[in-house]
Amino acid sequence: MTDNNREVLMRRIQVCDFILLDTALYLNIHPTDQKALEHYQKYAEMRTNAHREFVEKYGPIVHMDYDGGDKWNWTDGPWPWQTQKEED
Amino acid sequence: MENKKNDMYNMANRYRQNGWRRVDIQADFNAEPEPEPEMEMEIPRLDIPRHAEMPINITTAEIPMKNIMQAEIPMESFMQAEIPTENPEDNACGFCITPAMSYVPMQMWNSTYEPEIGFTRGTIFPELDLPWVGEGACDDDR
Repeated sequence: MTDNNREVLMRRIQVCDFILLDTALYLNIHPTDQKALEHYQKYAEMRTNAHREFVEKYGPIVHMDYDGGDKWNWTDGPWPWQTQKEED
Repeated sequence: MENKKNDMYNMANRYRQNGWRRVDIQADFNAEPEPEPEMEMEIPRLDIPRHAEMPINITTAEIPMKNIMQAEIPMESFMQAEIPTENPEDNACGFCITPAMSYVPMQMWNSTYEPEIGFTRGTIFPELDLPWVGEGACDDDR
């Protein structure tokens, strides 16, 4: 697995989310369109992987990503929406 | 057309001064087009049901498209919308025939943009990526 940096992973999640949303809107009126379903699944999987990788490396994106350990890690910085520039 | 509208206005004003009587108009979409009436003729009194009592087939769904295209919306229906009658109930319907219809073709699955392109364009569907007035106000990649 290549070592994607934080921004790239976050961007991938955002792009996947958008594609999933747009595809979902299409599927709402074409519930049996196999190509659209395929498209949805492809990006849903990509999003899941990117999300998992992000959480493993950089911590939770939402508090539901809490890792179940003995410390509440949601409040560990930086916040998901903070850019590298803001941290410096 | 403009003259005709003015004439109709004048006629309507005379009615208003002399006591407006309600004129109901029903578009007969299957009728042959009538010859151009002379301007001085009275607004014809058509004995037809009012909007609420109109048969269902006056709604948009069942009027054949061919007849829609041929039908001219009678001026009187605009007049009726503009000029109040003594009985408020008479104006409840406003326009008694449909002023406009739209048709939106069903979207089909064709190609989609590459992820990054779709993200910046705001849609993953090229056929929905239409030009907008004011585009360029934000600095995107295109």
